[in-house]
Amino acid sequence: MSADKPEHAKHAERSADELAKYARELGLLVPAGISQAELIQLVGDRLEVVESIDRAVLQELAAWVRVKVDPQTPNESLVRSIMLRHGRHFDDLSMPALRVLAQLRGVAIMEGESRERIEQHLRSAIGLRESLRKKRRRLVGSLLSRAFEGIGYGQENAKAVENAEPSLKERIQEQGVVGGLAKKLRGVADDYIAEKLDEIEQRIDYKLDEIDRRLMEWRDREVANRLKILKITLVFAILVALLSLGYDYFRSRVGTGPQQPVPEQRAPE
Amino acid sequence: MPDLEHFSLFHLYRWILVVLGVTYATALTIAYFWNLHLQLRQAGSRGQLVRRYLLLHILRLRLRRFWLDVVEIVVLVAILWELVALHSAL
Repeated sequence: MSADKPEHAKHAERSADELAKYARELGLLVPAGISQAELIQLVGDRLEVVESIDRAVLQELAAWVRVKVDPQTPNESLVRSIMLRHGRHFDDLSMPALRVLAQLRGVAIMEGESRERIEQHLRSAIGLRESLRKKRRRLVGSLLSRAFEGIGYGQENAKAVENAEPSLKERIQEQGVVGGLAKKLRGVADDYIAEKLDEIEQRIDYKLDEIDRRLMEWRDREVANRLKILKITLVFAILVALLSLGYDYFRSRVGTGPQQPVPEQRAPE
Repeated sequence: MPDLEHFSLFHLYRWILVVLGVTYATALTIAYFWNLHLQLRQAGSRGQLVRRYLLLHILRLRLRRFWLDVVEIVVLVAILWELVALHSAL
């Protein structure tokens, strides 16, 4: 229990409105006129319950409401995501998950109660007002989805179903028109930015290749020039050597060469 | 008294040319390598990157591209060697 003390202290630092909002996000019904201390106690008890829930069941519920599950995501965060959505179709849920969902939504169920009865309790707990609101949102979501099909959202919705992501219709149904459209637009903006970043990366790669190619050309040209200069130097040295050889030859033959004795001519007898 | 009988003006010219040429070429080569050493010895990732890039360019250099020039230089060196040898034979 000592480990809970900092948690309680953290909640005590929150304002009454923030704490009430947090409690509702955790699926608690906050009665009017509840004191701060009682609310802190209520939230603390709820967090204890949340921590005691099997992680696998929570992950199943998160997948049911189409929330991506990160291994580092705490149970409390998963529960808040699950409680944001009020799904009415429980066919995909296992029995333990159905019981946990009922527990989180504050639906009292008896031990050994049948699946149909639990589902019925859960549907009736949603309430008429919430039910009507969801129907209205579903209708608006359906209309907006059809409206956006013309600009490519139809294919995106199909892709969203494949990737187990909520479609535009489902987003509007769960979060309302503004929230759903905002989420969708944010997703589209993220995709656009990612695409642009890839494009920029490709351009940078192309530029780097171009610089590398030019440097290689410059290096080859430089080596060729040096070899050319070396050849010119050698040709010049050979010319000078030829000149020198000619000079030496001329000097040995004409200049200071040894005098050959001229044979004496005899007079004819 | 200097031996003026065997004095050769062309011999003197060749020696002066060799001394000046070799000194000049040696000084230029040493200055070039010293500057290269100063540029490449800088520490840090940038210096390391430049050194590795230069090494990469040296390794990527293909001498087959310049084989004709190399053959010409070898032939010219052989001719020069023969001409020098002819000087001593004369």
